[in-house]
Amino acid sequence: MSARSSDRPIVASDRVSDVLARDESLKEVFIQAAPQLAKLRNPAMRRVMARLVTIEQVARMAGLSCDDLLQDLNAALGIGRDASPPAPARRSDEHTASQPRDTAARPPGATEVILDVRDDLRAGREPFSAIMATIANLATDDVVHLRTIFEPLPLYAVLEKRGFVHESQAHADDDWSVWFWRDAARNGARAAAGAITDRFAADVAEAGQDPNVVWLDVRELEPPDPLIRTLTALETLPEDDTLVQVNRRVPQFLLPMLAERGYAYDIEESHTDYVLVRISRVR
Amino acid sequence: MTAVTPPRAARMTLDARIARAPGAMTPAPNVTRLAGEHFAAATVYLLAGALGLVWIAPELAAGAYPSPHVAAVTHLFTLGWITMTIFGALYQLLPVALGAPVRSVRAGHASFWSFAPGVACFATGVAGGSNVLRHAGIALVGIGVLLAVGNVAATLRTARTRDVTWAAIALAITFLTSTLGLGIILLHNLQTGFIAAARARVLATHLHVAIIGWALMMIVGVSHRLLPMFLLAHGADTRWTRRSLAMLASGVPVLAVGIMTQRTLLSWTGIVLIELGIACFLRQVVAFHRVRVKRRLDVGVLFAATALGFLAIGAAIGPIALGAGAGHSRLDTAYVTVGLLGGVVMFIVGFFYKIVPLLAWTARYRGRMGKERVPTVAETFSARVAHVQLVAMALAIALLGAGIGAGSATAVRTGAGLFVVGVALFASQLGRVTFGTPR
Repeated sequence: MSARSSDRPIVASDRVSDVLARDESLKEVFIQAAPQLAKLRNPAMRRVMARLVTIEQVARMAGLSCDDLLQDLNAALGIGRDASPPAPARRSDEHTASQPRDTAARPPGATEVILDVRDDLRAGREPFSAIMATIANLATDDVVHLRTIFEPLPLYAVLEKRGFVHESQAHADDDWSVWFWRDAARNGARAAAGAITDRFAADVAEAGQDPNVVWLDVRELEPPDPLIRTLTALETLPEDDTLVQVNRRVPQFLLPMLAERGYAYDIEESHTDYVLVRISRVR
Repeated sequence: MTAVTPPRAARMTLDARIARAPGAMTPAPNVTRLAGEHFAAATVYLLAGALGLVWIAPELAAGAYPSPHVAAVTHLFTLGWITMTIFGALYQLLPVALGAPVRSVRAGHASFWSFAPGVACFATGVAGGSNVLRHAGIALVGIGVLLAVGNVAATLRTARTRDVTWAAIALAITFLTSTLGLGIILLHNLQTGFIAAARARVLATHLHVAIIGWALMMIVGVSHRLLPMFLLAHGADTRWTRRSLAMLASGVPVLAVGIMTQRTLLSWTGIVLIELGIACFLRQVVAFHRVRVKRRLDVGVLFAATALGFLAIGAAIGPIALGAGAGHSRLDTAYVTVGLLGGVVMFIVGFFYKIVPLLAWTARYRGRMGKERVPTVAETFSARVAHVQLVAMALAIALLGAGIGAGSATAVRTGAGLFVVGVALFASQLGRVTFGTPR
């Protein structure tokens, strides 16, 4: 949700980026409330972090009361104390600052895949795709050890949907270790469904249903697997359906083969980290 | 099946933004054949170069790098293997890397048919002291290079993507043209002696512009595009490539001017810049390696990794050779041998393993893919033989370097023999990829 209206009070579910878009000087309110949020002064950090977290999450990261933070922010905007709706009641399974961060103990003896995104975050680079790529290709029993500069609360929810549990540990205010691994009990059925199916569906989070379009995510496959999978999928594609291939780059080897086999294609390159190739039969 | 249910909201957004693919996106026809003829000729020259190493082993052990025999064999590697392979790879990869189809496939073929025989003619002329062959050879090589450079430059002009890979290719072909100019000067000097005592300096400049300015610069730029694909490494910090290219592109001319004008400070500045450029490249590779999704490294990547080890060793020997000054010809020879054979030739062998089987496989099975089960690319060659080849070539280069350093003709010849074994295994693998029946 965006904070579009200038007189609408800031609410717990607003993203920090939306709040700062209303008035960038509000970053000082965050920093005053919690000095560990001083990283918001860094434009690169602001670009990445502020887009990822909500006010409620940032309050939890900093160990603040969300209501107090909302009141401070709204007051700075000149919106009255009463206008600020209370933060939603916390679910019983969510962290609070006083609770231990750990939600589970990681499996002993598991292979750890270390992914350090601290430099990326400090430089203002979006680490989400690298994290998701690592997650997507994680062996069943492996553990991802993510090093980051803040507790990645938004990531917990994303990965929880994919059957991952986590354990977190703060080494310093700006140095966190978080381990993610698959919850064996929850994943039996999901594993059979196929990791790739799950991957793009989660990346495009606002999922809907269109029965005439089939999506094929080949971003994490090494050549020539994208080629084979696409051609295989086309063999079973119903006459009037469209196959949308999600790739890292324009699949130059595939294009002439599509023409040879009687398919038309459109390429959409407006995204920074993937290309969509829409393939359908020539009518 | 990897199909996914469609997210409607996302699709609506995408529909709104969709761009119809321009016709220019489709790769030019027959580029695979064009690349293939370059790769085939390059393999023949690699084999010839390996055999040539055995022949020149005593001269290498004596550090006689300016000898015509050594020069001839060196050109089998630099022109016959490295340059031929790069040309072939560019024709194939420019559409993939830059979204630009090759400007003229016909010019590519013309370049090949001038360049390929030209290298043989030139190397034979240099080794045998034949003026006619040397001049015919350099004329053919020159025409081939200029046609290829012109073709690539015209392709770069139409490229939709002008990123670091684009810049690297543009810089590299500029250095290649400079290398050709310096080579013509050296060749003319063989007849007239007009540069007299400056010959060693021109030769050193020619070598560095060729190996670092042309070959290494191209490797850095192409790796930037291909290594993430080979390692499935996305999201790495990619600024190290830019830094590497900036250092190398400034270091090579500074070193060249330093050597030519005998200004020690300039030479050292050039060396420092080049060393930093190599360090940045290695750092970039480490960054890719760290974020890779593909955990197990295949043999092609292992070749490239081994080559980077030799590149680092060569980079360590370089300043020592410069500091030692003239009169340490074995050190100079070892430096060039390890850097050229270990750092560049091996790296290209590694990328060959990634690219050539894929191209051959695509050409062979394009009509059957998706309709029936086809062999995998990995099944078109033997990983075990490739690993044996890797060990043989790595040992060979270590022996060559150590043997030259120690002045031992026996060690150098043994290393050269081992190198021949490695290259022969490589040729057998390529034959299997092209003509064999997959397992």
